[in-house]
Amino acid sequence: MRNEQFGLRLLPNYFKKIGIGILVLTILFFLLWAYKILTMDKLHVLTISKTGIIVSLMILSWTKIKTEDELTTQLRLIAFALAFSGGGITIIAGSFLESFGYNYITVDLFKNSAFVIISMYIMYFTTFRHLLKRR
Amino acid sequence: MNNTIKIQRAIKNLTQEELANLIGVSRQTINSIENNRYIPSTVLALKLSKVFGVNVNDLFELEDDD
Repeated sequence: MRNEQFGLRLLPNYFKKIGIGILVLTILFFLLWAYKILTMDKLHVLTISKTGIIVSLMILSWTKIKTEDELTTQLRLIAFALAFSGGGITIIAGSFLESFGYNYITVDLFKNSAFVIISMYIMYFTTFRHLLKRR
Repeated sequence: MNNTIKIQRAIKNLTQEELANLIGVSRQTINSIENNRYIPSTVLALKLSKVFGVNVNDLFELEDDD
């Protein structure tokens, strides 16, 4: 049966290595700057680091696992939905924390869209792994 | 929804892993279907009926609350 129905078009499993590679290189780049081995403007370093982390997490989230089938696709969608809701809760919680004066947490983190996106990806991976173990 | 996959698998003397390989899914998916944690798609149900040589209606049965 030709399968042309709606569904997730995921990347092949070898993209996992590419995603992990980008993540490791980004962390290395940031550490080189943090330990002053590399001299660069802070704003540029943060932009490159955030972009690298988000791109690597995006690739990893769209990569097939070795035993990908219709059940894992369903679990993936549940994990995406929960992570999306979690992102919304993070923003609401951040706004409340800020309004109650916890500015030291909120100013740098919750106003930063990269933080919310990265936290959503972490929620996604955690939920997906948990659901895969439970299946 | 109830299913008789475990029984059919025993009749055919197949392990979950062997059945999974025959229809191209993971062993965990077969386990989830057998334990009613996952209802398979029509395509997968038809593949299962083909492997066991029975009708889909003989493999899956609706319950009153379905």
